[in-house]
Amino acid sequence: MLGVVLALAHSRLQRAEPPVESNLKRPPSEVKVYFTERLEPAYSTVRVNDEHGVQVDRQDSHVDPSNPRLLRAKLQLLEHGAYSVIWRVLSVDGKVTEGRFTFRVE
Amino acid sequence: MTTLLFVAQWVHLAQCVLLTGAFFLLLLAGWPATDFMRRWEQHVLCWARWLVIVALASGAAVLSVRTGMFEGRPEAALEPRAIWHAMLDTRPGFLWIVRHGLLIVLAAFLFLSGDVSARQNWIAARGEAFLLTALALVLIGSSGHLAASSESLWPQAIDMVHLLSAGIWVGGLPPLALLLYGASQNAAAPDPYAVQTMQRFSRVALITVLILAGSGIASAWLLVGGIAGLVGTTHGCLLLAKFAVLVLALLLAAVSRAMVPTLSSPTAAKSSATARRMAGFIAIEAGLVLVVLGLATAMTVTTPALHDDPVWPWPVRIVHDFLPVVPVLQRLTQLPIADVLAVSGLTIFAIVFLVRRRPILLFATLFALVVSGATIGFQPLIVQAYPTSFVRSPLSYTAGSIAEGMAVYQAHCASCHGTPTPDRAGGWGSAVDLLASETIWRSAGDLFWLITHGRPNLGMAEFGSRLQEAQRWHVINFLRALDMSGFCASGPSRIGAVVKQDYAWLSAPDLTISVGPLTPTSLPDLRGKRMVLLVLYSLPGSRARMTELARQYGTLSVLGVEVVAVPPQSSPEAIAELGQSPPVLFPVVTNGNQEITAAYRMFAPGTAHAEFLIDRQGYIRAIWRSDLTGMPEADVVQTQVERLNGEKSPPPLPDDHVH
Amino acid sequence: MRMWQVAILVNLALAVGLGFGYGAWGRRLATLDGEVKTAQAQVEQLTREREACFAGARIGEQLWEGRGIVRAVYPKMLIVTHEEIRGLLPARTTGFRLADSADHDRAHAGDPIRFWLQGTGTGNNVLVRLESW
Repeated sequence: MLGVVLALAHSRLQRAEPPVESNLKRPPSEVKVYFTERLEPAYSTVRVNDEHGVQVDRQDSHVDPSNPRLLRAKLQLLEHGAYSVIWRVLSVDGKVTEGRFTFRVE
Repeated sequence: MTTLLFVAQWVHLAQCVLLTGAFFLLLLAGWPATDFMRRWEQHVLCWARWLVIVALASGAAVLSVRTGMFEGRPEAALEPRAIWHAMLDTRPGFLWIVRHGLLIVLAAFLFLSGDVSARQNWIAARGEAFLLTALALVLIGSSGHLAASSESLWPQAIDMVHLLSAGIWVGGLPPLALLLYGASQNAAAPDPYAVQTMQRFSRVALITVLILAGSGIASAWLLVGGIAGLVGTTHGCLLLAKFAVLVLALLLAAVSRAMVPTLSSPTAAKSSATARRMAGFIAIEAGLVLVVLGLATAMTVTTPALHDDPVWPWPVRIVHDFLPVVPVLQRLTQLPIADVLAVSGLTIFAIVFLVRRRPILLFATLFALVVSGATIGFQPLIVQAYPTSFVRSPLSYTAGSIAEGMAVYQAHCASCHGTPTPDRAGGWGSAVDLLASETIWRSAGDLFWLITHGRPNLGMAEFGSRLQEAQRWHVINFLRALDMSGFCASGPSRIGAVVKQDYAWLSAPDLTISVGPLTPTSLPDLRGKRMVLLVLYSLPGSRARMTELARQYGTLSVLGVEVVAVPPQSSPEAIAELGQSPPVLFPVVTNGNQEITAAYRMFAPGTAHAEFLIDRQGYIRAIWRSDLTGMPEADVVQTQVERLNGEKSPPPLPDDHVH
Repeated sequence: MRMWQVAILVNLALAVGLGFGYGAWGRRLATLDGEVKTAQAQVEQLTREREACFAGARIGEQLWEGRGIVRAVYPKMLIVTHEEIRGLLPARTTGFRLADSADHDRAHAGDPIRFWLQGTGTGNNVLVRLESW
């Protein structure tokens, strides 16, 4: 029906830091993903992989206690290259959404 | 798995709704005074017992299927530990426990017989049962889309009111049909208590349907983001289907309501036949609203239209942002409201008086007039549309994205569309002038479609195969910035050295403030907290101004302004070059300078020192350029900041993503 | 028992059960959270005191580590834009007094540095050591 597949569009993802498909000059220390609906901390996770699929976050992904729509995780020191952020969240209305986006560090 | 969840939730919702309605109807009928009513009540209680059992069973099924979905593995649906975790650690799980606790207490109430011969006890028993089911029903609203999208309790309350009124109206229909059918069995007149119940229900139903409609419209307003969401998303289409079936059910209800007076007619055979017919209609109505419940359940398992990307189904759409373009409408909006109302009121009065015998003719003429008037009047506002017209850009509107888009544009688009020059006087290619007011009408989704598919009849190639999706969206961010830069340079929307109060339209592209090895912050972090004075400087020309800013920084900070200085090149020596007399205490960006400069230079072309005053919501409100407006004096920035502080209501936040 | 008495009892039980359960559960979570945070802060303070002791400080003094960019160098003071110093300061620009032991001759405005503060935390901290970041 669409004629063009929108691979980048994601329902429920509002914005992200680092921004989706951005080129960064300095490696970020943290990844923050903002959603349109409140999240359940027990079932919402995010991970960051490098080009070879190796996990490069500190495995501390959690929903920010002061903002139930924000999911964040700290990162190890990143080298140059492309990274994928893969998230899977459960919102308070019981719906599971997952998706991914990439960013580069130059 | 979603289908399984949908079926289980539909069954569960139907049980809860039917239970609530059954007990409400029992209460409405009153303490059973005749044998017939007593028998009917026993039937309804037996029906209620079955409903409770099915409700508990389907509720358990819902919990188990949800556990499987939460964990992402279907086999988790049968693991006790996983189910325990899902029940205790999530909000939907907690609500499930409360609701099923209530249902279990209700089951105990129903299965343990108590003495209800005294009126007090009867009221207590039925009232308590109604309270328990009503609570179990409305708490479903606490785990719906509206509850998830807002922290405040009011959207949830809308859902709860909607559920309760649905329960009262819909749930009462099957027992009511049973009542009327039973009352019409023998040829004698129907039991007067049955007739009385039907009359009471008819009155209550009218009120509940109005409340249902009102709360339904309110929740649709909050969850559907407009016409595009309504017709272009699964959620929106389900809402339309729900509305259509509901209208059918309401028509049947209106027919039944019209037959109520004949129920109490003196002829026994006539009222008996009426009762039988009404029972039939109500049964069909009950079937239709059960379908509506199914559609409502389907809506809860799909993404709300507001958060989804709609697919526009038609070839045209109406643009409503540019009212001033149509002179007639503009003049209409300038007429005083009172005169308009008076004139139209008198006209309607006159027409009604003249055609009072043929209202249908009147309505038909009015309808035809309105439709033809709208078709003619809206002509300039109708533009070409594509399936992606209402798709929101997935990429944020950042300086990096604009710079990337500029690079892609130079490489692929400049050959036909020309290179935008600082003074805009440069020649464009033979293709469409991308700065023209034509392009501003196009939404980001329109541009995406045109770039992806090209315009073969106008000679533009398709770029779907040559550019990745991300690159096309970068170009669209660049084009938006290009359009806005044209408007901010000249014309009525010009942004100059003086802040125009209550006039914020130029959203500032997001940028990352990265000072040396310190953790970078970004412009949206300051939103709502401080204003930003973005300074594009270059040494040695800006030395005097930077010294002045360093001295003024304390005062500006207290006024709520953060200063961010951006030299043209990324260099770790930037702070050292500014020296320490006086010490420069505001952030000086040392990484990503080229992107920030490329993006913001579109609003202040050239290489001269430029400063942008960005308000707390993220709009650029004043631009100073040393070659045009001169540098702001010590207190000029302060004056503009005070003008911003003096605005009564802040403008709405700009959308992070163009659309 | 009469039905209406049963009904009232059930309602009371529900109200008390739900209200008490939710209130107690919520409050228990909050106190647990608070206790964990206090314990964490205490552990960090003890670690800092121990490090200060190794560095030869007096009893009761702690050693904080920070990172930032120098903005201005004066004979007895350094102005630094620093990240959050856990247990002491949020990320901001601060002026620190320099101890004699601090080798600040080679520091200039714009240099990224790691630095150590020694003191009791109540405003009398001095910058005792710095090195480039």
